[in-house]
Order: sequence, then C-alpha cells, then structure tokens
Amino acid sequence: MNSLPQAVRRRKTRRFAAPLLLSPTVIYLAVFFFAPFAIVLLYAFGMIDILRQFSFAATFDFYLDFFDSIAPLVFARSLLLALATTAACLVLGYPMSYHIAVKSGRRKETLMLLVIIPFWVSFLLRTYALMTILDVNGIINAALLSLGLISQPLNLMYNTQAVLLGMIYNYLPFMILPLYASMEKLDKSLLEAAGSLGAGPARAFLHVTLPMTRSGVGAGSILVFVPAVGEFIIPQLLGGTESFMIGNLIWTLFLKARNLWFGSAVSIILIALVVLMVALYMKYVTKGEEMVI
Amino acid sequence: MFEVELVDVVKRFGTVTAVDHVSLGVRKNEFYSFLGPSGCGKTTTLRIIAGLEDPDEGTVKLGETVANDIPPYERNVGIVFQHLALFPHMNVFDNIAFGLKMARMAKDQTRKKVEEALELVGLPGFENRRINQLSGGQQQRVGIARAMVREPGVLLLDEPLGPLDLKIRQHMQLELKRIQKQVGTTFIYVTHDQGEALTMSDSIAVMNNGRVEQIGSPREIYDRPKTQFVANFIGETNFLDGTSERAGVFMCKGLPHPVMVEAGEDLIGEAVLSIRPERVHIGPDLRGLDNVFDAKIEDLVYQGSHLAVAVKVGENLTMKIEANPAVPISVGERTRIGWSKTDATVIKLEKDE
Repeated sequence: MNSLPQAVRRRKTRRFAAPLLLSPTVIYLAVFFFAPFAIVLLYAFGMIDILRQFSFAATFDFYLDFFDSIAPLVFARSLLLALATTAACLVLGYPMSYHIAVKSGRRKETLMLLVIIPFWVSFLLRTYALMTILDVNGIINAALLSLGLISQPLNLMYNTQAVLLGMIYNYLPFMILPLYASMEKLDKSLLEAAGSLGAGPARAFLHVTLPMTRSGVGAGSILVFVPAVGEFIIPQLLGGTESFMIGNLIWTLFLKARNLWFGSAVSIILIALVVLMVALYMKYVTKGEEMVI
Repeated sequence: MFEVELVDVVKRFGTVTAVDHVSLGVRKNEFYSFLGPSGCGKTTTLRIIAGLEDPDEGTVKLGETVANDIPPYERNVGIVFQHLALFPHMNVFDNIAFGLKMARMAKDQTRKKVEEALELVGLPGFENRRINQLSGGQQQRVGIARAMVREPGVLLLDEPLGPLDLKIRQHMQLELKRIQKQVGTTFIYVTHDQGEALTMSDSIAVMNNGRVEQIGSPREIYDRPKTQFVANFIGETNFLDGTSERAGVFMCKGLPHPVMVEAGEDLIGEAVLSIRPERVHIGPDLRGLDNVFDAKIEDLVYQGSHLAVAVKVGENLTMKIEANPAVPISVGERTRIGWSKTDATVIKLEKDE
C-alpha cells in the first residue's frame, strides 16, 4: 500500500524530468542546426533571392545547373575517395581491433589508449603534422635523399594519394572503436561451439566472428564514410586540383563564388546522397541489426 | 576398450593445478558424470577431452588414437555448453544445421537430419524460430540437437541444466536420459548436483581439488564411499570417529560397545564410520539389525516425506536420522536406534598433507 503514492509521485516527476533534461539539447539543436539547415533549404530551392527577400516559388534550376558543372565529377571523385578510405580503414582496422579485443589480454587497455591518443591532438594539427612528413623538405624525402635512394625529392603531397593517406590516418580510429566494441561483446564460447561442430579457424571466422561483428563493421563504415565524403580540410591541405572534393566545392561556392544558391543545392544533394547510401547500406549490409557506436 | 580415456592428465593455470593426475576411462554408450563442487576441475577435464584446453601432462585417448594434438574441430566430439553458446544470428534451423554444413552435407539431407534432431528433442516445427524467441528449456533442447545432429561418438555436456528451474531441470534430466538411450551415444556429463548425477549416470567420477576421489556406479558411490569427501558430498551422512580393531569390528569413540561392520583387514587402524541417516532405524522393534544402541531424541523436524531426527547416543554422540513420519516418537523420549552392518561404511582416515 505504501508504494502506491510513491509510484504516482515518481511517475509525475518523470513526466517533467524528461523535457527538462532534454530542453538544452533541443534548444541548441534548434538554433545551431535546424535553423541553418532550414536556411540552406530555402536557398537551395531559390526561395530567397538576391535581395534577401523570401518568395514561395520554389525552383529547381540549381539542380539543372548541377549537371552542366564540374559538380558530377567532383561528386564521383569524393564518393570514390570516401569508399576507398572506408575500405582501407576496414581492412586495416578489422585485424587490429580483433587483435586488441580478443588476443591482447592485459595489454588491451594500453593498446586502446594508443588508438585514442591521436584524438587528444586537434584534427588540423594532425594533418599539418602529416604535411611535415610528406613535404618536399619533409622527413621521408630527407631520409631517402640522405640514404642516396633518390636524387630528386619525391612529390608526395598535393595529390590524391596524399589525400587518401590523410583520410585513412584521420578516420582509422572511427573504424576501430565500433569494431572493438562489437568484438569485445563477442562470446568466445561461440567460437568454441563452432569448433566443436567441425568448423576450423577460418570457417569459424567466416560463419561466426564476421556475422557477429557485422554491427561493428556497419557502424564503423558509416562513421568513416559519412564525414569522409564531405571532407574539406584534408584535400585543402594535402590535395591538389585533381583531388578537389565536394567539401571544397561547397566551400568555394559559398565563400569564393558567393553563389549561395548553387552551394546550397550541392549541399542538399550531398545530404540526400549520404542518407540514401547509409539507408541502402543498413538495409543490405547490416540488415537492420542494432549498431554499436 | 574405452571410448574416451585419460591417463595421468595434468593441467595447470599459473600456480593452480586445475587437473591433478586424472586417469579415467569412459566406455562406449555409457552415461558418465564428473561430479564435484565448483572449482574441482571437472569442467577443465571436459574441455581437455573436447580439445579446448591442452593438457600439460598425460594422454587423452579417443578410441585407439592419442588425441592430444588433434584440434577440436577434427575430434568428432560434440559439446553442449553451460551457457549454450547458440549462434544468436541464426535461427533454430541454421544453428542445428551448422555442423552438417561444416561437413558439407547435401541440402535435402541436412533438412531431413535437422527435422529428425528437432523431433528427438521434442521441438518439431521450430526450424524458423529465432534463438531469443525460445525459453531457457527450449534453447537447451536446441543446444542438444545441434551437438547431436552430427552424430558425434561422444557428447560432452557441461552443466547444461544449471540455469533451468527445478521442475524443468528434473524433466530435462529424464529427457536427456531418454535421448541417450535412444541414440546410444556416449555421454560425459559435468555437474555439481549430486541428485542429477545419481539419477542419470551409469558411472560417476567424483572430483575434488583437481583429483578424482572415487569412480563407480551411483550405488557404489552412495553406498560405499571411499573417502570422507565423497560420503559428505553425496547425500547426508553421519561420521563416527573410531578405530577399526580387526576385520568386521569397529570401536567407536563414545559408544558403549563395538560396532559390527563389513570391513576387511586392509582398513585396520584409525578410521571413520559413515552411516546414511535414512539407513538408521528407530523405535522399539529393531530385530534383525546388527547394531543397536540406546538413544534419546533431541530434536524432531517434520519434512513431509520423512522426519529429520537428531538423537543422542552413548556419551554425547549426536546422529542424524531420517525416520518414517508414521513412527510415534517425541522429543525427550528414550528409545533405541539400530542399523544393519551392510548399511555402514568404514572409511580410512585421510592423512593430512
């Protein structure tokens, strides 16, 4: 009998607690995310004109412009680079996560710390640091020159390979963390069970470990692919004209060409494309499984 | 000729010796239990047979072959794990078919085999259920079906009924026994539940501290325990300290006259006498019993199927007795107790190490 009023009181508190706790986040998102996004939408459909006046006549002209510009090429390049980054991070990150989560025993914490430490330094600084390594006067060239292996410094920077290298380097932890989480959860007795049912190590991996860590693969791939496809700083610092990406295109359209309308349209197309790709990926690759992030 | 044989097997984890010179042999089609408290090495021994642990010393033989270096997936040994280890990303059919798929069996034959296995464990038509849609008992059955469907020579079961409720557990004990009889596979069963081991086993190896204390049929283990640990671990018992004077005569400390026992010359010396509470008779009419003593009733607890009685015998010796509830006795009453000499066991004192 005693617990009844208490339960009622608890329910009442809960009714007010949730909105109260959520309101800072909601307000923050409304002001700094939804509002700018709405403005971009208005620009992208021509509902704000050059005199900064609103109109209700939506236009799709900017999307027709899209195909007459360099944008499709830039999109294709960005997608390709982002896919390559994701694939490379997966290939590098999977065995690494597996080793850390399953095989490393007591060194697990130390190894995870080593993966996380680069996060303590700003993204920009890390990329600049990479420049000092790849530069014409950088560490690699200096070493190769002094060893006499080359007579002219190599052009390691301002090309697509440098961009790819920078992206893989910067995004690898985003792949490792969810993979590690999914592997950590993997019950080792499942592998023993597979073994007792006649599956050797390779087939146990294929039929148990891989499908059981699919959620980690899914989460990691999305965490790498989504920011990579819109990457802006890395191609800006490490790339040349041949590695101009969507991020750079949008930046140029907004800040150099001052074409807010076309810039907004490109942004909207990018968002639509990413949402579509993530949706397809979740449908066919992770098969709607819960993702660990 | 044993189906599974361990010879002097030792397994150490760091400084702990988990399995300490274990030797035993399991016959074909036998239901063999490893019984002991947690940490006694029974699961490790099972894992050594499965190939999931490598023994530090000794030989593991499967049939005629020394199996020490054979990996688990080539051993033809099935395992039902304590926590089942069913594949959560597969449905019931795929779980059971896994072993057949690994053996590259044809699709239609696989389907037939899985159907038969589900029939055997009493879950026909469950093929498309997801694992998390099943109750604990049903998951248990899937685990058994998955291990059985490959028709392994030996099935290892690691406390598979542990997580189940008492009622389902008792039901599953009989089910397991039925399945074992039906398919005629050798079962090696790990449990800490003495009741379970007595009910199901043909042979029991009682383990303690990594060592095998006694191997025998349930009746031998219960009626003729060889060590105090075995007598104590399996069922209730009374221990009476004393000396085995000569063959057939045991002098009990605190009892007015010698006790007749069935014990040979080999047990002469300091020993204990183990008598099961339910083998002690109480009341005025004790004709035909070899050992009869005056007793005083100290305590009585009605427990449904029996009366738990505590009596004082001789000079200050307390014994537990399970009496028929129909026996008219009350606390404080003076009466007599007695037992047949075949119902008590002399156990040689274990030397303290």
